[in-house]
Amino acid sequence: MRYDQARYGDEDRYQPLLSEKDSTTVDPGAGSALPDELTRDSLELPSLSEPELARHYTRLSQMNWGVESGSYPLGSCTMKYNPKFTEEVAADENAAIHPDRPDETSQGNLKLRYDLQRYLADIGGMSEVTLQPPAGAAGEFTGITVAKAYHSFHDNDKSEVIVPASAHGTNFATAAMAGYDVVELPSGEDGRVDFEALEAAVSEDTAALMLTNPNTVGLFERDIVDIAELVHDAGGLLYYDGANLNALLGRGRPGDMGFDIMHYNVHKTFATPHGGGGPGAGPVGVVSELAEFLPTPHVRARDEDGEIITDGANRADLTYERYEPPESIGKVHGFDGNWLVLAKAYAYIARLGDEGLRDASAKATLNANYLAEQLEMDVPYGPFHHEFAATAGETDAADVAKRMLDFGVHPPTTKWPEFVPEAMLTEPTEVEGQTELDDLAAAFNAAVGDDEEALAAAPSRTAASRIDQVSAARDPQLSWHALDDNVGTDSERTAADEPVAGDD
Amino acid sequence: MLDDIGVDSEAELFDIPDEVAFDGELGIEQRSERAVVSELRETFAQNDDLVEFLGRGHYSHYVPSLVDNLSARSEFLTSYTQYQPEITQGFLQALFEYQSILTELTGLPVANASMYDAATALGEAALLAERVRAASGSTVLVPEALREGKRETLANYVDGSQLTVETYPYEEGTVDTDALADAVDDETVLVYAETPTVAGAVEPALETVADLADDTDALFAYGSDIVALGLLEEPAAVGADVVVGEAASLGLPAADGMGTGLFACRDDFLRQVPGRLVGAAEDESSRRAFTLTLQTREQHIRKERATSNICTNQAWVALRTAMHAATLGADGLADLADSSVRRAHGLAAEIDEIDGVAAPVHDRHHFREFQVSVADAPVDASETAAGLRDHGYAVHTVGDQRLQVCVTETNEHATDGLVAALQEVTA
Ligand SMILES: Cc1ncc(COP(=O)(O)O)c(C=O)c1O
Repeated sequence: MRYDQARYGDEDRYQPLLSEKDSTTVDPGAGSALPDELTRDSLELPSLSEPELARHYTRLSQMNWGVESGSYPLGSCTMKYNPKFTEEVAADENAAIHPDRPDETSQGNLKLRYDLQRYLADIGGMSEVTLQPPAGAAGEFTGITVAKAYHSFHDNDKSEVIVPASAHGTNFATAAMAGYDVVELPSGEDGRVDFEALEAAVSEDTAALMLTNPNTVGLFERDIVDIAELVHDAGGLLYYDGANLNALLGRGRPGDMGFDIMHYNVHKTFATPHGGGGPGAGPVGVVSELAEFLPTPHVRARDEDGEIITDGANRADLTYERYEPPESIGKVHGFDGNWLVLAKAYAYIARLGDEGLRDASAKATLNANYLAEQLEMDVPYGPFHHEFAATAGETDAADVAKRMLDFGVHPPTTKWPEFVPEAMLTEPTEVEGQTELDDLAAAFNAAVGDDEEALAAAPSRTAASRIDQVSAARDPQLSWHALDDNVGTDSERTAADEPVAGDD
Repeated sequence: MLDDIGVDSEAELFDIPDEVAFDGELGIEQRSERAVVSELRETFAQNDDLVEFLGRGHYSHYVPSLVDNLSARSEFLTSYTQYQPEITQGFLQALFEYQSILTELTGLPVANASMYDAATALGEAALLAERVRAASGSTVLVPEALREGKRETLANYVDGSQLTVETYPYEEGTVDTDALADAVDDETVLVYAETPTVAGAVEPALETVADLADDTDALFAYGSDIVALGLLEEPAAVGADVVVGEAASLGLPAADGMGTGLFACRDDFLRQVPGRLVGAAEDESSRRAFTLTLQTREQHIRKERATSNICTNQAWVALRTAMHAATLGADGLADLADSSVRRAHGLAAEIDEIDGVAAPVHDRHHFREFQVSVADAPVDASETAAGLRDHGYAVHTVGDQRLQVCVTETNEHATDGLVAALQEVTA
């Protein structure tokens, strides 16, 4: 397919910055109700009329790519279509409330929160779910903090968290942030957890093993029951990174596999828009022994007799209240998480129901396997679920990705996970039809087969041509105040490479 | 497609061992779009219809229609992190503009592309202080009157580090500088102070706080929100090393606690900053372009040595915040901020007229909100709040004898009613 992205600008730059159009400077202190010593005396901000602003942002949007622009098979990110009606639902004015209202005056939002807790608990095979963490990584941090609280409650002396080499960077960073030593587990020959290596790594120091399943190249960890037993026997907990839950919807539940804690990545699995990098939401589910450690407040329901109802999704006769779980870790967000995202996720799950959820995992898996089959590239390992990592072989995966941009598709995640050389981690999701998958395969095949010159010259049809990230990092200019005049005029490009792995 | 792969059904593709495969029912009923929309409309209608005079860290300002309309463009809304900058220049530029607006407001040269919210931004500031601190020491000092969401989130963020959190007292609703001077010592790595405070008071002693921190080489973290920064002393000018706070007071209406974390700091901390940074770059055609930069700080490259575990952030809200700020311009923002003072002062004065009721409790200037004492009224705070609720108003209670009231352009129309109701309830 041929594609040309909109490209506004002139010889030196693309769309001018707001500040390059017009600015005004005011003295906020002058005439203020506050005394002079409490106020600033200068504030300069862009000054544009509404039509100018509308044009500015419309142009910027045209110089951007979203799921509605075309295929966006960014592996591990689950770039599904985001159903429009969920926006409408989340924008309901009655839901636009303040979190400090008393419970009896916010029964609507509390009901949705409770019902979503129950839906997620059922989908994951967990006992209780907190909605507070605002993204996947925040969910990891919450989950590992719960694990820490559990171990300290039971006087377990634990110092290590085991993370497979193929795991997402957030797993390592989270474990370290929570104060654990990170033990990295090498990948086995078949791309899965190397059970012997795991046996060697697990010890009485093991607080938790963090795992995603299917793993980051779409392979199911077949030994999961043995893995769980091994970790549990050492007194450790098993943590599930929910980034890949889309593959399991309605077909497998982390709780049934022996996982004790999991996060749900709702901006992936439950189709809430990724928003250019967020907001997301990262609810955390736990088994019953861990429920008392969840963040505060947690939402629960009572029936007309005042009995606490632990599994009452979608009932009309309950009242909802917030409470503090007895051994709560406290809070992980200033309030109760990313409400708008949670509301959209509920709407999506309700629309799909059991049937739609099972269809989603089926179609996502079918699409990944079909696409892998069409590629004239080596795709190691298998069988795959919702994603796979093709290898660009001798070619630089980043170059192949840049070339793909010229064919009107977004490329996959590149150079990750590292155990697949020049990886192109591809997740088409269930939303693509066969024609789109064929076009996507054609883009891969054309790009990977292109000569060096063509690859080096790519992309040429996007708003900007190849961007020099190395110089940008060497001479950081992070605001319009910092722009120096060299940017946008000729300067030598350098070949050295700042790692520019797209991650997930 | 099944034929191409050589299977008879999708089910064959799943490599889930029988013992853990799920073949039960989740019991979630599939509904039509229309049914879900009307179900949720009914659900949300179960929230009482109240005029909220609520703040304490989560604010409701009028969001111009332009923001909703343009941020909803699918090229923005349905995109993700700009791993391929050539095809995502639009969002990168918008985030660069967001960072620029924050550097203008804070006077600090580095602002990131967003944290989750003010509480997590404070947690990140503490961890940054631990990383950049040259000398030993491990205490973070925060005001005793800190919203519990911030206090507890901070406690969780530092729990895996060497840091411990200690509090210093307030006097008349703002920093007790003598007590702070006693509290700061060689162990201190960070002093956090906010303006406005959780009770809405404008902090008059920021420079003293900065000096106290500086005396022991501790960092001074200035907490605020993006609207207040349009009027209050510029953080850099009073000696702030880091600024954290709420950015979504512009860009999002009341959203049941959802926000966006503002994070800015000094230049020399650049390589220790958490989260995404967008920088200017050049493309092959020598035109100025934008890209994510200094990514070697981040988890996807640096793993357990990353400056933070944050990945997905609040980018789309940051876009909205920038749109809202740009719509206001310098005049509009300064005006909105000044009105936030005038409205608070005006409403406090009216409330203070009521017998047995006193406002503001603190003899300070206030921004958007203030506390009200009902100590001399025949009802306590929760009875008063319940009475107001019956009249259709929501206010905070703070302990047994105080309320807290927040006023902006979104509830100003109802202040007369609130005052009348308060008079009646406390009579
Ligand atoms: C495998 C995996 N784990 C964790 C995360 C972190 O999630 P988030 O970006 O929502 O913080 C991601 C995605 O970004 C991921 O792909």
